[in-house]
Amino acid sequence: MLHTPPLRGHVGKRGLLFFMTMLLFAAGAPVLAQSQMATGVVLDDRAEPLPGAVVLVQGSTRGTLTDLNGNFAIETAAGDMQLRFSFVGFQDQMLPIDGRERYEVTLGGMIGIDEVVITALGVERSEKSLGYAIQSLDGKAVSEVPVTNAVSALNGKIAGVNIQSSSAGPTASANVTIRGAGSLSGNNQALFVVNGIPITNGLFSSGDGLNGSTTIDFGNAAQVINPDDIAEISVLKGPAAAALYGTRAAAGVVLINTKTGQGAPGWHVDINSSTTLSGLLRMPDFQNEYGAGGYGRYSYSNGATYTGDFYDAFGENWGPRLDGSAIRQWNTNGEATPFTAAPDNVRNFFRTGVTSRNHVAISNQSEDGDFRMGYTHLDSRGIVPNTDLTRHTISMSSGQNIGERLNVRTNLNYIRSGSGNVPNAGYDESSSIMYGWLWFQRNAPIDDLQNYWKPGLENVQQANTEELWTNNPWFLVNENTNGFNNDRIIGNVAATYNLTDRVSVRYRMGADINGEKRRFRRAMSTKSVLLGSYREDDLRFHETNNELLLSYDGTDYEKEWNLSARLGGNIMRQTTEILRANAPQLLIPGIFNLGNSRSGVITDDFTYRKGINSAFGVANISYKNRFFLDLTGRNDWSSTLPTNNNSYFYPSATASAILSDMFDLGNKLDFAKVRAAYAEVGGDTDPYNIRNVYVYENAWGDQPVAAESADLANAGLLPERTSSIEFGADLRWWLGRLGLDVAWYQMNSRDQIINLPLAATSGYTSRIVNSGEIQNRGIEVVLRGQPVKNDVLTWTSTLNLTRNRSEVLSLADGVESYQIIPDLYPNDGGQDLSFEARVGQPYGLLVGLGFQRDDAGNIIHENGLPMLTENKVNAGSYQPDLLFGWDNEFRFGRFTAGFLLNGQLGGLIFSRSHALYATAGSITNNDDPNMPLSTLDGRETYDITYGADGIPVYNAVNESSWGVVGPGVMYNAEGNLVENDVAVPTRDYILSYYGNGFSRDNIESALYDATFIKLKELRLGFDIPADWLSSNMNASSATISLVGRNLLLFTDVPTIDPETYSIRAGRIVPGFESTALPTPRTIGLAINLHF
Amino acid sequence: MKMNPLRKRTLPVLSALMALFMWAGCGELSELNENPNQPESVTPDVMLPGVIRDISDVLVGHAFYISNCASQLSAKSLRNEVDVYNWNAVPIIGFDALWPSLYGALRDIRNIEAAAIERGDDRLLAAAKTMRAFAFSVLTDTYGDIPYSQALAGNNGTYFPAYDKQADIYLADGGLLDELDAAHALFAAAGPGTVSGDILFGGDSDLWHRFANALHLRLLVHCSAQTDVSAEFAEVAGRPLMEGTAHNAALNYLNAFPNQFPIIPLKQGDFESVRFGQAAFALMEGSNDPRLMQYARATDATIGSDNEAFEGWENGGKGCDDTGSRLGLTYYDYPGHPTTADKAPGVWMSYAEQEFILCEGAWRGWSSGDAAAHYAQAVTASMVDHGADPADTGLSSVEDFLSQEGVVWNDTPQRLFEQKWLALYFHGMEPYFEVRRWYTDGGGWDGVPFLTPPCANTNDDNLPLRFIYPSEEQSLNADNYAAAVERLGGSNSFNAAMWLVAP
Repeated sequence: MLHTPPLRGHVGKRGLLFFMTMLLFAAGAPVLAQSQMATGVVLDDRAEPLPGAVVLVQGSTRGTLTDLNGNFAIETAAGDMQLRFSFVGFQDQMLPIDGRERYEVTLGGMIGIDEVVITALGVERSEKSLGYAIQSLDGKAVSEVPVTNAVSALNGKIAGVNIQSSSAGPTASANVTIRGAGSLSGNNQALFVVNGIPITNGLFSSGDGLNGSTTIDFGNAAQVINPDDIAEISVLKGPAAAALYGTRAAAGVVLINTKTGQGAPGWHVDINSSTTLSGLLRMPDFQNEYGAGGYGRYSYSNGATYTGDFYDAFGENWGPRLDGSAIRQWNTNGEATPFTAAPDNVRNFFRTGVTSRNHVAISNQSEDGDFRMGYTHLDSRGIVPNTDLTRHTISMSSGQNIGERLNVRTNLNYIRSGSGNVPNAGYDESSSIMYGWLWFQRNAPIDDLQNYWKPGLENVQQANTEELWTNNPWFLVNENTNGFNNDRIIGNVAATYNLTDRVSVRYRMGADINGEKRRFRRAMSTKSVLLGSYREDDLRFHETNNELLLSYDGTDYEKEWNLSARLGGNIMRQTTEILRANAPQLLIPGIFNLGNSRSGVITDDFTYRKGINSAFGVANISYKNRFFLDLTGRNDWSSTLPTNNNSYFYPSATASAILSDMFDLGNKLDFAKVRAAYAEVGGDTDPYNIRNVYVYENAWGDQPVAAESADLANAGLLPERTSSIEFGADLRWWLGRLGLDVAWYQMNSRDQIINLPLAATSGYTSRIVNSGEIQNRGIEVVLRGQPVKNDVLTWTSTLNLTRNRSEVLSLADGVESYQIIPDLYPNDGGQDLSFEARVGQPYGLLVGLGFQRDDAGNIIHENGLPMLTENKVNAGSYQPDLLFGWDNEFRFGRFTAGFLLNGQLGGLIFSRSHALYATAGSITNNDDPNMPLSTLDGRETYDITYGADGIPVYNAVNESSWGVVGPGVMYNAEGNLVENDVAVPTRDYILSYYGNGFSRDNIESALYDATFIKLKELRLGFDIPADWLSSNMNASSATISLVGRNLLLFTDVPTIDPETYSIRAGRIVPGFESTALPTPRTIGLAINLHF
Repeated sequence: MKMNPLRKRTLPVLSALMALFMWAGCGELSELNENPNQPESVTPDVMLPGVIRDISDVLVGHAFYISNCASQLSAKSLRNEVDVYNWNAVPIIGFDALWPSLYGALRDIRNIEAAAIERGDDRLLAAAKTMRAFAFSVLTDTYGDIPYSQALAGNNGTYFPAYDKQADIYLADGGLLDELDAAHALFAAAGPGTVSGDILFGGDSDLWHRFANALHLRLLVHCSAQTDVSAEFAEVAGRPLMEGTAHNAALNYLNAFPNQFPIIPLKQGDFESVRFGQAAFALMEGSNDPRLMQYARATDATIGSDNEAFEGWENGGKGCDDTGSRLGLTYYDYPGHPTTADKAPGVWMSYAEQEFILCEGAWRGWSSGDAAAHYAQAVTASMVDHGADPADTGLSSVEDFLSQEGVVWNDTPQRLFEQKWLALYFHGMEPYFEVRRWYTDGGGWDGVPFLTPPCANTNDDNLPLRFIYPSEEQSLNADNYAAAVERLGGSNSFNAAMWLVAP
């Protein structure tokens, strides 16, 4: 929810009161010789007193603020003509000084014209003065929505921001991309700044790929910020807004300020409690007509036969019709029993997820300072059995005035989180249940697998429907767990000393300390980890920032020209430590301990250190409060670059003009601002990219082994550079009932440091180079208004539209294409699917083999099977044509109701899940918009009888009716294209169509237009009447709300939620889906009490 | 506005403060970028085991998935692209591809050579040259023209090496044969001694010397259709050679992860998707070959009984005969009953193979020597390598086996090829290379009468003659790739004949 009708809440007003007091304090209050007092009251348009309004004697520097009752008293001197009354978000009013006894003035409100927003360096500024786009949400927008990851609650609420949430259980990450992807190296995550201190939001992956360690989503960092503690989130879009956070801000900044005790004097208590229930938004369209087996055959022999007569470990659902025929099955002890469907077997495996969050905070504001302390307990059990998340958050904020000139503020967040098991959504049989579903027998009742050990072989040998390929799902979730414990401290101390009324110096020290232990258990008999394994990852991250800031505030209401300036320096130090220890084979079954290793423990140990020193300056110049010009400059020195190239300077300039203050724009257009910005940001690289090294490999017995790294380092690296220009306008009509904010931008990222692949024949597989230029261009539109506003009903509506296009302008010399991810799904063979950048093309291409087609686009067949191209083709980009979010809130009396629709138009997504479900014959395939054949068409059916020994005898029935004819063309004997008329077995066709056999290198088969619309949120709230509250429970406000998330999805994409992505090598890859966990559909009840 | 008295002092004080602050942060930046994790140089004895392991892993993986199947020693029951000659889509599952793995190993071999020269360690230098020739020979025999003389120089800025002609790779100065001559000269001059860090021969440079000469013979046989090798063969045959199975160039894997036989971590389903081949089964069953009990695993119903039953799987697609034994117990650990038997080694080249080569040299008249004796040595050595017990097939001894009709040396290449083919089981890519040579030398399948085209193959019954270049070469080394493909006749085709097998 946006900052709509501004500052109606008393907290906002009082917050401003504090701010304005400081401002006036800075302006000084000279004593007048001949004076008289003017007193009065300032009211808002509801005739309620307006505290904190500014009252100025026009043409002087004398001013004051209204008190909590809206009253003011100000000295006037002879010759003073007018009083000026102003309040942020309202139109200024002037009254002549005429000696009347009491001045009463009503300020008319306009919506959101002059909100105060938090900008870089934590400086609060009026949005009016900014020359770049910024969009803010108050904490309610995220705390009200019961999610475990506050960031994902921003989805659809801010233009220009693309938030993709993984569905990977309670720890799911949220990928935040602002204004498109500019980086070839794949890290396009926005920088998160919490109370002025940057925190990394990368996936903390120690990615060696073993045990699925690169596909398990342990969560990214920003999610640990507790929604209940968030006071405000501002999104600074693009480098102009972010130039002062340096290098890491090139992809934009999400500023989060946590709550403090500032606000109403005295002690207050807040209690929030919420509980949510989660189900499944969507499941594949499973078929229930045919069961396990292959080519129409199935009979259980020993679970290891996939040919001949039995096909009991064929691992697919191409078996006999589920018509109740008597067939020997895996759970029948050799007896032939009716072969029937278990329709909801996959769905029934999942359970209702329950998340409860309880929060209590006490806060106090007094004359000397403020204080707040909060505790939050989050307990979540995921929709996948035996998955969970527990999180304790203690947050503390305290501000203290020491003497008249010194203020000290500390913020501290301690977060302890942990999980016994995080679900793996990867293509990894050792712990991903989603992998197993692809081939899960349609006839297997899920409950029959609950006893997942073979009798007498507990902890040694699992029981499953077959022995060769997959693991029992209950075995996976209960035995092969991926647990973690994380301790994180994010804190800072800032001391501000006002040297003079206008000059202050602030020293701030912040730290982000993160320690995490991950535990991967693989029980004995896990497929491909037959002897089991146990691994621990110990991950430590530590970042400190020391910042000194010198500020000059020259604001003077008397003057036409105003100048403020800041000068600062920052020292950043970062240390990452990774220690992995793996017992690759267990000695004693069921004991998961590094000591229980059959063959020694394999360890890896890495330490990465990095430092950036910075000096920066800002100047804010304004003329008549109508023209604003901001200039910034920053110089960074990064440890990661070669010493002779490690210093880089980057400037920015932004300007804005308030047209409505200069021209008469008609009586409907009340406010018009235009703005322009130019900015550059420099960038560095990761540690240790300058010199070639040798890497340790697994020892050979007691002989150590090392090999030269296949990645060539580069001692001649230059800093990266991103430059951007932006133009925008902010228009308000009808007293702000309708507002439009439009921004156009172009962002060019140059000299990017990437790992460019090399031909292996050079002896190396990649080299680190400066390369390439990516251009992002886009338009963001925020349309907001109050279509209905009367005594009964207020309807506030905000529409966010985003269109971004990233184009690759150049790569390194002689290089036309760059594989960002060379092989999305390793080990499939074939030519692989890749995620690429190509010169002259949009960023993020989905590349693989395509179908051979005739001029009309028909697929060409040979021997009845579709033919593929010899070389890989570019199938297009994941980039959507348009992202939209439409947020609505209706307020009638004490009730509020709201809904948020979000979605995208265009863009591509490749669903590997769909392709594999189809090749396994597990789904009907009726919902594939590209492909008219169903997996149920033309299946082999046999008349089966059993011999005395239980061996099935297949009597072929009506063979000529089997098989399907693929839609498309083929070459006839004369070499002309004619309609394909060759029938092939259904499995062969589907396998060939979706997978190119098992090569799975066809990008076109399961590629879909990712257009979707989602009912993202539905909110119902009730404010309990204050008089009832005060008389019954001594509370001052209370709300009860019912919130649903991910309630409805409309899309043509089959099988999956298109709002998903893959995690590959610790990076988030949009446009590719593989074995993603189902998106949870949640409904929750929340109660917020304020005392 | 009144001047604040503080202001006079403010600026200098603050400037000093800022300067102090900035100074505090400088100075240590470059230290921060010193890598504490990885060294910038290591000694060659640390590189050597990794290189040997990498090459061995490639050989085992490619024998299992590619070469045994392409030569019909085994057959795939799933994903049978190799068997049906759909070599545009050959899957390599669970093992690194041949091309990047061997070029990766060659990077470290280059480093070992450089270190050996620097240290004046001629034995190490000669061993490195031998490994280098071995790895490059597998590469060129697989693909044809490959980057050779300009390869492995990315650290000097050669990012796009040209492809050398295969004839030059074999025969030119600095080519494979030349390098092996140089290795022999170095070994001979240095005399027996130690190769530090070696895990292939336990550091014995004399065994490296013998392997280098045996490899030299192998390569001469490979190119014998294109050039007269007789003189060189005779000369090399007189150098020190392997003298028994103890001299095999084969890596004995350790019995523990991650240095175990590389197939063991596979899923059972993936392991069992390779079955013992029908052609090999028929030949071995017909000659009471006791290696069958080691090559293949008896059916579940009969394993461990007195009458163990075996079957062969016909190479080819659906509709072909699809029952066959799984591979032997030395190649995998079955869940529930891991075997106590030692696992197979990673074979680079065996004494048995060398004896078959000498047999062929004698039979062709390249060198003096007794073809029959070399034949008997070869078969006997192969029996020893696999721990075959003649009693398993009712024979009293290997001599007994050798004297049978159909096995006894009859002075024909067919007899030699049959037995050499069986002995090359799990010898890296060599079984395919040899079958290909006999096929092209003999004018097609007549050259390998013990084989027939795979059932339901997709290549008009033609044995593919090479593997296609990896697809990434197209984008990563486009111009040189295009020139190499041009020399193949314009297409990266698996039917194009490389120099070795050119008509």
